[in-house]
Amino acid sequence: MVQRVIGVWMIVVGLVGVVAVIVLVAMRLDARGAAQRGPWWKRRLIAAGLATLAALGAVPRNATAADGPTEVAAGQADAETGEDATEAVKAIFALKAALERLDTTLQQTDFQREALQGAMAQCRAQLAVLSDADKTATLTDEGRAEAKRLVAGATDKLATAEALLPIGTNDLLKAPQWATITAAWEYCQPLADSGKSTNAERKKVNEHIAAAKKAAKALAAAGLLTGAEAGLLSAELDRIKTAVYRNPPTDTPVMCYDSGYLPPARRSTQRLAKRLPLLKAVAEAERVNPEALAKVLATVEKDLATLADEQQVEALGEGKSKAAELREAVAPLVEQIKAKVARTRLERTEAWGKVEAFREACKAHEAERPDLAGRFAEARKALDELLEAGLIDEARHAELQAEIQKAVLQRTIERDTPMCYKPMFRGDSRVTPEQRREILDRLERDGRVEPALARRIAADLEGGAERAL
Amino acid sequence: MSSPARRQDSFVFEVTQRCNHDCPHCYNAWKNPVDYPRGALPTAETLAMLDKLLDETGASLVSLSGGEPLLREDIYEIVDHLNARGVTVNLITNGSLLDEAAVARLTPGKVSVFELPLLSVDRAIHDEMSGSPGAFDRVTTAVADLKLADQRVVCVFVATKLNLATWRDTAELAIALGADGIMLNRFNPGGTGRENVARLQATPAALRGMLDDAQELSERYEFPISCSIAMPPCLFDHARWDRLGFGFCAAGTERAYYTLDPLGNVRPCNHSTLILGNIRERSFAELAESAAMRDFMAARPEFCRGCALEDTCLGGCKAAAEVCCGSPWAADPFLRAFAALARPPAAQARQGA
Repeated sequence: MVQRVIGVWMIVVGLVGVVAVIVLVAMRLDARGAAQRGPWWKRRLIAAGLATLAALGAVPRNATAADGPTEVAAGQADAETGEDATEAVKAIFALKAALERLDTTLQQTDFQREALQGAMAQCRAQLAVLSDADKTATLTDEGRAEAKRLVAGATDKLATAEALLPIGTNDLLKAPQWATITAAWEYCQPLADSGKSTNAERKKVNEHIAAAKKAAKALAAAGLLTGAEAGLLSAELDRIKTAVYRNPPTDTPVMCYDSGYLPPARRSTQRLAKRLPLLKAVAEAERVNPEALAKVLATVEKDLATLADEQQVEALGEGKSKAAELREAVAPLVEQIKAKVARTRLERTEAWGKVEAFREACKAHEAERPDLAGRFAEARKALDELLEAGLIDEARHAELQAEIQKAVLQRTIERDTPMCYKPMFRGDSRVTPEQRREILDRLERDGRVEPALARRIAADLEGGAERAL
Repeated sequence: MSSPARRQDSFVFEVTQRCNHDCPHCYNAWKNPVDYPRGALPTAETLAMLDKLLDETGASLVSLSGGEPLLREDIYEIVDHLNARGVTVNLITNGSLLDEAAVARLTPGKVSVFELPLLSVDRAIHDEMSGSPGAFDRVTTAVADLKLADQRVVCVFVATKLNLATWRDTAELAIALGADGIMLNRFNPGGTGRENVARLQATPAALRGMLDDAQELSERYEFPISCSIAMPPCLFDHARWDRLGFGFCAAGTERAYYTLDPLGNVRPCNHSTLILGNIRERSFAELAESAAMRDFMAARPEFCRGCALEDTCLGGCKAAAEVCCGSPWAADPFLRAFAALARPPAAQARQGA
């Protein structure tokens, strides 16, 4: 009975929320944004509306508000399963809704910590039910398989969310851990390059590097870096530390200092061998972080150059063939990574956004893309900017210019009217009677229009006024 | 009625080869130096031929052209017959015979769009380009009368060296007359026009100036202007004139305008002299899928090979290439004449051409 009352209440809230969403959309306001701002009662009402529309398939599920109420998930579960459904069945629906909410929150660059914690708590609550064998015993085989799948997915997602929670942002460059890493570089790299450092400086180097390695790990756990990128950063930090310690400290007189000298080619071979699996992983990854790779690729390229130097490689003796193999394996990976970095940098630019916006606009139906010409002009200008900035080369520039121009030309092919020899008008005439009259007066004064014709035109203008009435 | 074997949105019907004008830019197929069949069918056979083509294509729009369509005595019967079949009719006429009586007979609603030439605001130039004294007065009166009858009128301006300087004022005259749009077509050699290329052909630079004016007029008056003869993108950066419509060869597509002559011969378009066959003897599908039509559709000039827009632009007007240079695989004569100025479309855009 209580569940039925709650269910009815949730349905009422959902329907009122739907009305609210429709009003917002009709007023061309951002319903999703409205679900995240303003008084709590307003946020929850709109969130309930969005969730109801999502349940009805009217909006994508992941459009549900990030900080909607817990009871919406439960209410939705109740609405979908009915009061007689078992706790496990309800937990399945509720966990799906909770995971969607978690996803939405995780996708926001500057998410609210409370919203993330709330979404995580919801997931955990349902996980507890679905991890209980007694409760899932009531499920069918398909239900149990679904529950297992959801539990595995939720567990992974929660781990990422846990790692992301202290970081507080989805933007790598805004993460405090990234600031730790860049601080380590700023402090340690000059000392590594010069080879001169005091004991106090070395102590600080140790602290920086330890903190930076920890930060890289945290960023990888949170998904802001890939594991391979974090590994490469860590390896590079080790190299920096070795370089700092290459010579004796400048403030300590020493007679003998064994810094473990190796021929440069041997060092390069060792470094590349260690980095090879990480570079492979980066080259195969879907996305890359240019800022992280910028810190590590220079050393890799320098090592490749060393192994390409015959004089240097001579010193390896029997190790020459291994060095050659390594160079052959690593060089193409570096090219692939650099291409990915270039593409990532390109895709982050506002200019590229305009090109993508034009491509998207072309997909829309004719009636829904009134400003295609404007977007085309912006996209074309954006490509010129990208060429000037060196983010694309001439060949790619020409290819993209032709692609977007083709899209404009093809628009004329797709129109309803035939092509050549037929009018391809972009809209109807909106000439006003006053404009026509003004032109007529001028042409008459210039003797271009005979009085008889002028009278006919005037009659049409007057008739037009009457027809309008 | 069964589904059409080969769907086609529309076609052009040349109701007669007779004309009371003598335009130096005329592209009519029978005015080329080829042995083109002349004549026309009686009314009943004409209507039967139209029915066959409509049944086999499902076309919903027929543009009546010529020659001068109103010279044909049974033109009103043809229009009524098409109306009765639920087909939309456009009428392409020089306007000389569109007196008040003719306008009254063709309204209301019998003709969807009237296309009339307005070749210059200057009476002498328009008459010269029509090859008929008094043409200007007749066509302007016809446009005014059509507008008084609340009809939809599109004025056609054929851009040549003779009239290009008057384009701007001519466009304003069309607007003052109440035209619903302007088809702004560059001179496309063919028919009689082949013999007058030197006299008529304007340069790309002059045409660009014309397009600049068209853009400005279209913006100022919010008035639609369309370039319905192909303007090759390697000579014209269409994006510069975003208010104007541009069309390309539709040969072979559902939006092609196959042309039917008065004897039932079918051609790829009204500019081409290539006869695919006769609709009274064969089906439209056979004609549209014939080897000759496939060759026409596949034609691409060597000049255009490798251009990123080759499949869109198709090298301009293949029919003009066919009638002027002997083959649709040749370059459009306009492109041929100005090939040295052509640039790949992307470079065209950067140079602000």
